[in-house]
Amino acid sequence: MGAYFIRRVLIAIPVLLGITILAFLVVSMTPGDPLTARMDPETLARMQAHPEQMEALRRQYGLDQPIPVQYVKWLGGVLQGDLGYAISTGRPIAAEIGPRIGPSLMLMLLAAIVALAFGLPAGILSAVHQYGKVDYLLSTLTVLLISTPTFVLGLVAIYVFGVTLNVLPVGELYTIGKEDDLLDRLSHFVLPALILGLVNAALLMRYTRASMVEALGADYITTARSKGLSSRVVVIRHGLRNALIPVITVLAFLMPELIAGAVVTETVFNWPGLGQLSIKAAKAGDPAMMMGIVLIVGIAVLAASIVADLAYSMADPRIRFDRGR
Amino acid sequence: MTAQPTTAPGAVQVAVGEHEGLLRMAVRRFVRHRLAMLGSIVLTVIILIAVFLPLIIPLDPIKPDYNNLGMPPNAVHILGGDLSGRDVFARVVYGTRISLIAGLGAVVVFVTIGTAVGLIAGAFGGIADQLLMRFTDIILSIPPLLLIIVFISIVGTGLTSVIVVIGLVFWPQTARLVRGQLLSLREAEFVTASRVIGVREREIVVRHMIPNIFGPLTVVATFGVASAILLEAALSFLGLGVTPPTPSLGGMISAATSPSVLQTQPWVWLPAGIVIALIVMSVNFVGDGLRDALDPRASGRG
Repeated sequence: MGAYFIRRVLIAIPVLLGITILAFLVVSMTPGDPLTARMDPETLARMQAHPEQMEALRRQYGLDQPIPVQYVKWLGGVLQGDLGYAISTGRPIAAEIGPRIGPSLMLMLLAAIVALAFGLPAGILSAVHQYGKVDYLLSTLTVLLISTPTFVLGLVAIYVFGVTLNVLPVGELYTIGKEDDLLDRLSHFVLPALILGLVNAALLMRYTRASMVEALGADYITTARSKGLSSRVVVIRHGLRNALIPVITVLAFLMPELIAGAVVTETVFNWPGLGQLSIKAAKAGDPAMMMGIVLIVGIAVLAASIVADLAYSMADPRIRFDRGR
Repeated sequence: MTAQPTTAPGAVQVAVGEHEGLLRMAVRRFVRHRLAMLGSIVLTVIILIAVFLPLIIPLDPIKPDYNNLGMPPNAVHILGGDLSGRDVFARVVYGTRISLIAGLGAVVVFVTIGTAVGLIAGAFGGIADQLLMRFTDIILSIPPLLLIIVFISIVGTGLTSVIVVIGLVFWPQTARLVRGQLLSLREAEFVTASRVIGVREREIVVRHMIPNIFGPLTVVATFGVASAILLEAALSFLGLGVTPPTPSLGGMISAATSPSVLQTQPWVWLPAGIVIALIVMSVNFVGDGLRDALDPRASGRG
């Protein structure tokens, strides 16, 4: 087990390095001068009159070095938690990103719980009643959720619950003046977490249904049924246990999906998370900040896939640790 | 991204009988899939409207009519006007065109790249395979939307950028599929059998391998169209997609981020949202039907 874990982490390292190289290369290929591109014309004119100041700034941001040197210096800084400065705001990138990790992570965690709470039972129900009315209804609902853009769902939810019924807050982390009110904070989570969660529940439901249909078609299920076991026992003990194994991996695949959904959801609900920051950075043309976000997210996705692999190997005794998968 | 239960990487359908017969069987299976037929019909109607309606009646999606500022649906403008007084119906029609172009364009880009990478990796193996597959791992570990936003922030907004960037980010799944199919087909019994009875290598590739890759590839491409349309809409909604004033369905919906529009002027954004959902749903149904028709092994699983 330990050896398997170590090997899995070691395999992830080149991928992680690849992410940093990719992010860095893409960003350094950005056309235009990252220094002057963000200046208003007045400042630019003033700065151009004083080339020595420009040079000083360029040195401060490390833009005078060749690209491989810039990469190594950047990577060295990253390892010490220094992501450099955001050109659009002048603040350290780590300070921009840091406070936004919490809200994003919390939103994604709650959304994942919603996805599990709705997606798993729906998938099981659909599979048990395959081609029945329940299956038809749930599958239709799923296609509807998958086909409607997340932001449309979010806006409709805001319209219904925030405007017409006026029962839930429709944005931000908390109501101003109620920073310490736990209930208020929770109520702000409801709509964004529900929207993000339901979209992912739909995806999870499809996988669970497929996996469960396959498990229920297996020979040992027929055996269990013919032994006279109640259909409840057959479905839960024999079917579900085997169906859940592939679903574990799917949970890790959902992670990028969850993050992409979060980018949109955070924008709709004005949520101060990483997704919103990435849109701001993209609009401000701040590649260094984008690079920092991609790095953080890449690490999170890799970590999730390692955890999923481990969970998978623990759930399925047929997977042997001594053989790399 | 539209997710469909993926076919097990080792799954290979065995070609039985003549290829012509296979095709006829596939068509019959597709026609019997009721939702797929419904999707095809809805999609055909939408495409016909988007392509031909502007040629038949005059529709201007850009010119503002100052008597139509934020007006509800009326006799002149059947879906009313947006905040700049532009005809919402005309914008929906032209926006649908943009959506369809973006969806199809992106798929052409990513299927081409993905097939090329998959074929190279699968055919050459060795170091080329290792390097290419690690590279796909890297791309796959960054959420597509985030990577797309990074690229967009570099190349700038606009329809062409959107198509190219979505294409550049979506190829890894196709590459893996093509490589996996190629590898498992090489070991498949009917390929070995063909070889044993002395069928030439070229014949094997053309007659047996390519038709077997073509099926799953069509399915992936179809679901890819749905994903690309949703992504284009999301990008335009976020202000990183098609450049205004070019009409785009996602861009039209972004008007609803203003509370007054959301509360009192649903005609400005709701039609665009409904059309996106209709298109994507139809494409997904067609994809389901194609999977059942072309990939019978996977049909029980979706």
